[in-house]
Amino acid sequence: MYAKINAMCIRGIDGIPITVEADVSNGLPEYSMVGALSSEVREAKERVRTALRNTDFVFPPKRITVNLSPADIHKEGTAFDLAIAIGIAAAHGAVKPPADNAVLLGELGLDGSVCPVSGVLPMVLAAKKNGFRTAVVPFENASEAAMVDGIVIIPVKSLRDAMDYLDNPVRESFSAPKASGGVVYDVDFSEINGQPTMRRAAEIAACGMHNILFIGTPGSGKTMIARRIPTILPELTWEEALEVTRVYSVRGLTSSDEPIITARPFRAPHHTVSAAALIGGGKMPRPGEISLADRGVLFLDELPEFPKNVLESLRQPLEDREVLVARAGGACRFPANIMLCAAMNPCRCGYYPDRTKCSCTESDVKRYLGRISGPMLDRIDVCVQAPPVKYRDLGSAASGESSITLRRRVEKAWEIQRERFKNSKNCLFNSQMKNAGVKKYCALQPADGELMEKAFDSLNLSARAYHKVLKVARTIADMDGSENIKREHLLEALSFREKDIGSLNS
Amino acid sequence: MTDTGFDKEERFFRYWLHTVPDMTAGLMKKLLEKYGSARDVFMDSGRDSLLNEKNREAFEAGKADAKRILAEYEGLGARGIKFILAEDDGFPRRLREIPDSPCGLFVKGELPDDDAKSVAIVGARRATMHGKWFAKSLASDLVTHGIPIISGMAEGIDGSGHEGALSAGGRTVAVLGTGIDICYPMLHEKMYNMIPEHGAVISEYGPAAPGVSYHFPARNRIISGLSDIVIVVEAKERSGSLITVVAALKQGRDVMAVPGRPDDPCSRACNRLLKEGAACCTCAEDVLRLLELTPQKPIAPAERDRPSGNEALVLASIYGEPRHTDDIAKATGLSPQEVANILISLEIKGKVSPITTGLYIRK
Repeated sequence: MYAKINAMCIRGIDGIPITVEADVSNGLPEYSMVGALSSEVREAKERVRTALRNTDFVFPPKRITVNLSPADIHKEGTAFDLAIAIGIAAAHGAVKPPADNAVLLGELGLDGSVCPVSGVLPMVLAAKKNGFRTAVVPFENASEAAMVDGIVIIPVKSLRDAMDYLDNPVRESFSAPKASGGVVYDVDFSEINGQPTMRRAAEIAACGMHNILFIGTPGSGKTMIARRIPTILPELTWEEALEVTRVYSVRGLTSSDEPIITARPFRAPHHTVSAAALIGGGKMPRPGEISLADRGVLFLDELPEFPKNVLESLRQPLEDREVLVARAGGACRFPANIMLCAAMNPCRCGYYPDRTKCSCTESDVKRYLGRISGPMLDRIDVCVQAPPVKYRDLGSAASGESSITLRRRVEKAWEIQRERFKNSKNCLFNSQMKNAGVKKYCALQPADGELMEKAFDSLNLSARAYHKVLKVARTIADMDGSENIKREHLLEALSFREKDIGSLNS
Repeated sequence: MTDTGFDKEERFFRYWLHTVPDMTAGLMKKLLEKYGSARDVFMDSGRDSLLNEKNREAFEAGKADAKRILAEYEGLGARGIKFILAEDDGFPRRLREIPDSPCGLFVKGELPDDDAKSVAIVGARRATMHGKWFAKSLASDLVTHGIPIISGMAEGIDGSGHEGALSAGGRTVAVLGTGIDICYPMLHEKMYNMIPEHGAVISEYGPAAPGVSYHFPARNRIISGLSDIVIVVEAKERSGSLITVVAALKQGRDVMAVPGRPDDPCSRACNRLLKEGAACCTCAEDVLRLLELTPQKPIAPAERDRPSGNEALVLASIYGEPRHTDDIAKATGLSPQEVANILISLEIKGKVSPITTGLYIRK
C-alpha cells in the first residue's frame, strides 16, 4: 500500500516541490526514512509516530518506508511532518489521500497539533507556480499564505483537522482580512527638533535612494534621523511587500500578528556582525541583514567599528542590488535593494574638532577616518555633518515637518524618476544611473559647467565624486520639479559631498 | 665648516660625546671643564665621579662602538647634516649667551642671520582650528617683514607657525626634540623635508637619537634662545608651552600671549600670562612694534574679490571655531539651503574651507 503526498522545501528564498512517498507493507516491523535528510527532518520520524498515535491512529506494526524525492536534494526544515503523517495514514488506508494538486505543509507537535513553519510564503508561491491548486498550511501561517492569489488555502490546527479535511475536501479558501489603511510607524520625523541640514540631507537621500553618511558627535541625532528615514519612503507596493515578506518568511520573522511586512524595513545590525550574517550565508544559504533590509534602510551605526572584511563584502551587493551567495550546498540569489545609511563619530572620542572635549591628536583623527576604505566611501552619495546639539535647541518647541508631509514630496520625486527610467532596465533611481545616464540626464548649463570645472579644481574633486555630485543635483532638481539642473541645485549637491578626509590639516 | 681651533680629532670626540645616551649639555660642560678636551674625556672618564651608573655603562658602550660612530660622523656631510660646536663661528650668537646653552648643534639647512630679529610661535599640540588659523596667518604676516619663525615642529600651533612661514615664502627654524634625522610627528614629514630649503631643522641630538620625554622640554630653551620674542598662541592650564615661557624669561626674552575668550580652557594659560604682564598679541603689528620695526602697509585685497551681500554676511558669521551650516543659517537668518550654496561659492573662491562636510572655517 503506497501513498504519494506533495510537500515543499526552501532553497534560498524559493520553494521547490518535494514528493513524500510512504509505503506500508508486510514484513518485519520497521519504520525508516530516506532521501537526503538533515537531522531535523530525520527527527520527524518520532514526531510523526507520536502525533499519529495521539490522533487515535493505531500505528501499524508493519514495514514502513518513507522517501522524500527527489532524493538528491538536501532537505531541511520541519515543514514535511504533516505530509509524512498523512502519507503513512493514507498508505495504511486510514484516510483518503489528498488530491494530486494539493500540497501539505506543517510541523507536528507530539499531541497532533500543527505548528507554524518558516518560509510558507515562498513555498506557497512556488506551489502555485508549479501548478498546485490547494495548499494545506498551519493555521498561524494562513494569512501569510493568503497573500498568494489563485491557490486555495486550507488552514489546519491539528492532524485531526487535516484528516477531516481530506475526508471532505470541499472547503472554501481562507481569505485574510484586508489590512486597513496605510502603514503606521511608531516614530515620526516631527519628533526631531531643528537640524534642518540633516533633515534636508535625509530627504534628498530618500528621494533618489542615495546612500547617506551621517558624521557627528555622540547624541547629535544621527540614529534618530536614520530610524525615521523608512517613514518618509513611499509605501511598499504589493509586489515589493511580497518580495520583502518572502525574505522575512524564510528567516522565520513573520508571525500571525504580522503575517505580511508592509512597513519599509529598517535593519540596524550591531558592528560585531559577521560578513555571513550581513550578506547571507550558511551551508544552505540563508538571507542576511542586507536582504532583510531589502526595499528599506540598512543602518550601520559606528561605521569605522565594523570589521574591514564585513564592510568590503557590502560593495558588490550595493552595486548589483542583489546578493549571490554560493556555497557547497548551492548558490542562491537574495534581493538587496537597499538604501545604505551609515553613521560615525568624527574621531575616536567623538568630539573633534571641539578641543575643549576632544583629546585626539590629529594623526588619531586621520587614522580613525581612514578606517573606511575609498571604495566604500565611493558608494555613499550624500554626506552630512550633524551640528553639536546645544541646550537651547533641546527646549525649542519648533518641531519640523511630519513624515507624511515629507513622504508626499518623496513620492513626487519618485514619480518623476519612474517616468524618466521607465525604459531603462536595472535603473530605477537617480542614484543608480551609470555614466551614460549621468551624461544624458544631468546636462548642465554652460555657465554651470564652468562652475563645476572650477569646483573640480579648487575643491579637489575626484572623477567619482564629480558623478556623485551630478546625481545628487539631479535628485535635488527633481524635488524642485525642475526639468534642468540649476545652479542652486548643483551648489547644494556640492555641499553634501564628503570632504576628502585625507586632507584635514589644510 | 667653520672651524675654530679644534683639530679634526677633537671635533670627532666632541661628536662622540653628543652621541652618548642621556648626555645633557650641563654634564658635558662639566666634563669638558674638568678634562680640558673631549679626547681626554673619552680616554679617562670611565670611572669619573660626575657620572652615575647609567652614564658609565653608556660611556663603555659608546667607547666599544667608537668605530661605527666615526663612520657615522664622517658620513654626516653626505646626509646634509652639519655639526656645529658652540665655539664655532656659525653657532648662533644668541644661543651662546643663554644659561645651559648647548655645546653643539646638528643643523640641516641654513640658520638665519644672527642679526635678524626672530620670533618663536608656540602653543598647544591639540589646538583649536581657530588657534591654528591664527598661528598660521601671524607667521605669514611676520615673515613678509623678514622675520624668521622659530618653533618646535610639534602638532598643532607649532606646525601651523611653520606652515604659515613656508606658505608665505619666508624663513623658519624647527628645533627638534628627537635626533636630527628623525621626523616626529610623522604627520609633519612634508614640512620636515621642506624646512631645510627655507631655513633650518636643528637639534641638540645626533642621528637616530630617540625622542626621550625630557628632550622636548629641554629643546624649548633653544626655541626661546634663538628668538627675540616668544608668542604663546594657545595654551591650556598646564601646557608644555609654559616651559618655553619660563626659559624665555630666564634668558631675558620678551613674552607675548594671544588673548582668548575669558572662560576658554584652550586659552587659559595665555590669559593668565597676560594678567601677569605678558605683552598682548592680536596681530603682526603688535609684534613689530615690540621689535621696534615699522609695519608695512597691508596689501588691500582686490576689489572684485571682496564678497558682498549675503556672501559677506555669511563670511562675517564664520569666525573662530568651525561653524555648522545650521548655526550660520540661524545667525544670518538665511535658509540652510541658501547658506550651503553661499558656502560652496565661497569655498570655490578660496575664502572658506570645510574641515569635514558642513563644518566651515575661514581660510
